[in-house]
Amino acid sequence: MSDETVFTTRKSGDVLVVRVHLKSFDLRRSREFRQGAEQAIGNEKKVVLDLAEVEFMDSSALGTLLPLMRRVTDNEGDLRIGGLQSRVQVLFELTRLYRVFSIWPDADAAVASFAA
Amino acid sequence: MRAGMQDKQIVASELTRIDDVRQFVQRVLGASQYAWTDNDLIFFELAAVEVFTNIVRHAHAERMGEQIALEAEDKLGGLEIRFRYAGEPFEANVPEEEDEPRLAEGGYGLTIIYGTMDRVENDQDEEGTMCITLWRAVAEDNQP
Repeated sequence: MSDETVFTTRKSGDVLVVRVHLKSFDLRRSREFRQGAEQAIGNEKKVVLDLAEVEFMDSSALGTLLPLMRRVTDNEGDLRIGGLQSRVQVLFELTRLYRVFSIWPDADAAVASFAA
Repeated sequence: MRAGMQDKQIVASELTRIDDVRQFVQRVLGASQYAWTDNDLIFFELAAVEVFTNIVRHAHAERMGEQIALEAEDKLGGLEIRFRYAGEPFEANVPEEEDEPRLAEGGYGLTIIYGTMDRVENDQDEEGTMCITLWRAVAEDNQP
């Protein structure tokens, strides 16, 4: 198993930014990501998932995002996504999940969208 | 015009080999007689990784030390990638066309495979070896 850090978090005002540090976000680390991210998100209402470093993503990684979104929306919050690279963007289009998530060009734009 | 590409690689049936599968796809598309676009490469990589992880997780879940043979070949008008392995058949029911996105945590793998490939075949030879074939046509403009 790789020692690569899966994700880190930072606060930008009242928005929690979760930045994934995996170049290949796939079955090898998706469960670890989900468990850690759920804990990190806790009761936050404004969450941005920054995927700018992710070059490749598979279906198992994609499947971790919906429970995270549900967790935030059940808490009357919103989870937005920023920084999709082309391979990852294709995945969202194939599965039509771009209709489900609020997707922004980068994390800063996603953070700023909460103030709009 | 280059001769038709043929390539083969054996990989251990372990999730740690996902990068090997992606590199194999990149290599064979680069060596193909056809000019594949970046999107074609993305589609092949996505489908190949989903097939590979499906075999590792399901067909080989109870079988340690298995291997998967990756084969690629230029065919008339397209490229074929095959996965040969011993074990249980691939779970390959064609997903129904849906206008609305599925909101499940799983089950996107087959949507990705069938959404990216023009043909997906699932065969078994006389010796019981399973073979999953992915085929994608090249755009007419990119044919030699």
